[in-house]
Amino acid sequence: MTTVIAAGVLDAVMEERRVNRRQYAIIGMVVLAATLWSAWGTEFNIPKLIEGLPLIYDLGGRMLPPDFTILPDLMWPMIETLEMALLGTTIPIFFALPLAFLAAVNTTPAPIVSVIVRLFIGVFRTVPELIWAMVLVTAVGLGPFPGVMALVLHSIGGLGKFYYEAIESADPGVMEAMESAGASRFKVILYGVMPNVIPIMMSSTLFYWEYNNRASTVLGLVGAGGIGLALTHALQDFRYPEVVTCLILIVLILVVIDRISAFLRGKII
Amino acid sequence: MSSKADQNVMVEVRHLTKAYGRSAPAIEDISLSFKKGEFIVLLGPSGVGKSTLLRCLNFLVRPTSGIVRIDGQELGALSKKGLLQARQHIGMIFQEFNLVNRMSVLMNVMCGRLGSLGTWRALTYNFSPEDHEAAVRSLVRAGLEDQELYLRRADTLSGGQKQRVAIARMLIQEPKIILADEPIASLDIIMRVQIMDLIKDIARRDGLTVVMSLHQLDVAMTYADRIIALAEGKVTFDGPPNELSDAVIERVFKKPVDEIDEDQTVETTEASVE
Repeated sequence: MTTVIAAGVLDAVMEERRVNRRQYAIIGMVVLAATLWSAWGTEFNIPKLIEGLPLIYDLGGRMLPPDFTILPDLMWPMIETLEMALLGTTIPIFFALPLAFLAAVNTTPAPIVSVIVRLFIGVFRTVPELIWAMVLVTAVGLGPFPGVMALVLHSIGGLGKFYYEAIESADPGVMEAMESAGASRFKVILYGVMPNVIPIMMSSTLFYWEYNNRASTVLGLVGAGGIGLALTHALQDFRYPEVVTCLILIVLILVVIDRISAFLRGKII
Repeated sequence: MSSKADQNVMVEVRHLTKAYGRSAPAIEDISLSFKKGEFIVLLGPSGVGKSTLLRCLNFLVRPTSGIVRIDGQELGALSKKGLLQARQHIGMIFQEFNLVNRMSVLMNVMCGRLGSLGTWRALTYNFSPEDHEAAVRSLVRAGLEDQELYLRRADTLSGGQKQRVAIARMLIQEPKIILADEPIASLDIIMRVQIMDLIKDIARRDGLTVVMSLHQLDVAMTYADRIIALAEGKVTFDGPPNELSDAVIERVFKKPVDEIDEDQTVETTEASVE
């Protein structure tokens, strides 16, 4: 009797394996086709890359040695970049936090408010900060200010989403317990939601600070100040040893900031 | 109804119905009245509307229709603020204790006073010295005398200790009535007896009405003055434990009595070992 059952099970297993294999084969073919199509569309060409190697080698030669004499001149642009990233993270907190309470399904005053605020937050997040910066540079002119504003707008979207997801992870039972004792909605949020949610929010804010430091170095490319602007100028004037100095400085600073952020986040959780 | 009878009534429910969306109502046309000091157990397996009925008694769940009166006050007629004030004197404890994990034991207990806490104090997480004293008194009454525990984070406590903190949070409200939603379902057998004894003792000393949902038959038989059995959102039995016949039990739990008893004997023997 046991052999009969075993045979039935075996059949089922074999059938399942056949179905699985067919599914994987189909997925594999679709991915392969999409890859080939994209390679053709983007004129992806390995021989061309190999032909170009000597040019890269030549460029590398002209970049070296790095010109460290400009370091003192890079100090202020670098500080400006860090300041942009910091403001671009702290200002959005004050907008993202109230928006998040309107967007989170467990604290929103009405479902329709949640839908609208989410849409709003989503648009801010989806537009890359580089696009925001281009628009803002056109509006308010060159300099770090449009850069800060670009980071602020993008971060309101990013932090807003992190925040409302954190709020939605709050324990509904705890909120219910506060309500049952006669606590107003406001007090339920202060005591039933915030204590468990604040560490998550702090962690995601640090993550965004880290991200904004990376983003703010790039913003110079569209004229929005900081070390990125110095890098762009050096590139435009073919001063390659200076370009390398900028790159080395950027990488070093970013590594240090990643470390600080990781350390602080480790302390929180 | 005479005014004399009214004075002796703590909870009055008339034609209470609650339906979630368009599905069949969780409770339907329930009319009950609980006396002051009465220990009521809402009995039945999960999903029969015990939890909904319990939450209608403090309007955590707003009934679809019907009237709820607590100590003569009709909850449905109250303003938003009035309802919050009424809830300050309705204590509630839960199966999962519902403490704030990252806050201290003392803070958790003082959350029972949130209803009357001033806005500025609330914003600065600054309870008054009187609230602190009341919290300590409540904790001692709830059986947590070890002051070393008071500043520990709530999630470092055991299940039994957590439920004691939750009971202290309810006591600090100086409630007229205790609502308890499966308060022993997450506890081990020895803790169950201790927590049940504690609730019973508090209720007797302070003359409090208790309305408790339970699915353990033997616990209900031991502690209840009156058992109300629910099935499909309606009352199928209402009376003292000794009137609860096997036929009713089988109807409520939808299985033979000896099967239910089997579970219960194991529990009682282990509990008596202590």
